[in-house]
Amino acid sequence: MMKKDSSETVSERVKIVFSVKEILSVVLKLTVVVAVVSMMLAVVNTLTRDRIAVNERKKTEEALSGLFPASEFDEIDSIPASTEPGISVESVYTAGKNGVQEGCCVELYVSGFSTEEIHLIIGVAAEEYTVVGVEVISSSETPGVGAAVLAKNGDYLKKFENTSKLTISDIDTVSGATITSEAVVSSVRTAVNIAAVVLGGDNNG
Amino acid sequence: MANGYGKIFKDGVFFNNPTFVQLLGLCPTLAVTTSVFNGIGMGLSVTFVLIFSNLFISLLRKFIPQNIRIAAYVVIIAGFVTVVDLVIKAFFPELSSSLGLFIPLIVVNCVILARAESFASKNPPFPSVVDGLANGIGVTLALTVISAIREFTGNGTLLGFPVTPETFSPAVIMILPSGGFLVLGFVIAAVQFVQRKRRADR
Repeated sequence: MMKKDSSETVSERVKIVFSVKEILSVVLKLTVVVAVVSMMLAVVNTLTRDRIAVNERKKTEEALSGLFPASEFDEIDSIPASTEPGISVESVYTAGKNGVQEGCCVELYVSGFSTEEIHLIIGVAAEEYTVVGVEVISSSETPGVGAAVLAKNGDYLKKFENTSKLTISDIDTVSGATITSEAVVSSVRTAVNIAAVVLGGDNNG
Repeated sequence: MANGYGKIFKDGVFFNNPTFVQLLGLCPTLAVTTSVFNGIGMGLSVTFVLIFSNLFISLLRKFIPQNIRIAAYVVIIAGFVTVVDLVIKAFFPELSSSLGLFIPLIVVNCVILARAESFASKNPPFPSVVDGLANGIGVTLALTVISAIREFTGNGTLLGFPVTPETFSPAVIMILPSGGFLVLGFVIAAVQFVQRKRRADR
C-alpha cells in the first residue's frame, strides 16, 4: 500500500518536470535562491575579510616577536630548498636589531599524524645556529597525544631550545607520538640548515 | 498553541533529541567532542545554522518547487554555514583553529537537512524557528555532555582547567575516536533507560 503511494507521487513529479513552463520556473526559482544566498555571503565576507587577515597576520607576528623580542624582521625572497621529506618551507625571516643580525625565523608546514599539516615557526640564532625556540601556529594533531607534544611552553618543545645541528638528534621521540615528535625534529633540523645557508651566506657576502 | 510550542521544544531537546534519540549527525559529534570548549562551540554553531536555515526554508516553503527542494535547502544551509565559518574565523580565532575542519562539514550534518525537510518545509516561520532552537539546544546539550565526560576522563580537565588531583592519570583512549564511540554508547543507553522508565511509569 505504502509503496504504491510513493510510486504514484514520483510519476506525478515526473509529469511536472516535463512541462517547459515548469522547467523554466524551477530554474528561475533556484537561481533566485542561489542569488540571494550569494548576496548574503558577499556582505558577510566584506564585513569579516579584514579581521580574518589581521588575525592570521597577528599570530605570525606574535610568534616572531616571541622568538626574537624587539627585533625587526625582513622576509627573504629566495628560500633555500629543503631536503627533508614532508616539509614545505613557507617563508624565511631574518631578525636584526640596530643593524646587527640576530638570527632568522623559518616558517614551515610539516606533515604530522593528522591529515592537516602542522604550521610551525622556528627561530635560529645567528651565533652557532642554535635554536631559539619552536612556535606552533596551528596543528590538528591528536588531542592528548600529538597535541601534548606541541603544547605551547610544553616540555617537549622546550627541549629544542639551545640545541644545535649536532645535538638535535639527541632529543628522544615521545612514546605514543612518534610521528608528531619526528616531524618536529626534522622541522628543526631543516630550520637550522636553512639558517646556516641564509645567515652564513650573508656573512660571506 | 502554547502547548504546541512546548511540545516542539521538549521533543527537540529531550524526547526526540537529534543526537541521542535520532542518532543524526554523529560524525561531528564524535570528532569534535574531545573538549568541552569544542563541544559547546560546535553545538552553538549548529544551533545558529539550524535557526536560520529553518527560518528561511519556512519562509520560502511555498516558493521553492517540490522537485528541487533538496538542492534549494542545501544552498541555503551551505550559505549559513559559510557565514558561521567566516564569523568564527574573524571573532573567535581560537575556536576556529580547533574546530576549523568541522565547521564546513555542518553543511552535510543531517540534523539540519532533517529539520528542514521534516519540519520547516511544512510549518510557518515562527514554529520553525522554535524547532530550530530546540533541536540546536538538543545538539548542544548532547555535545556538552559527551565532551565533558571525554575531557574529564581522558585529559583530567574541564573547560581546560585541571579538576583532578595530580595522582589521577587520565585514560587517553577516552579522547581518541574509540573513546568517543564508548561514551556515546553509554550515554545513549542511559538516555534510553530514563525514557523507557518514564514511559513505563505512565
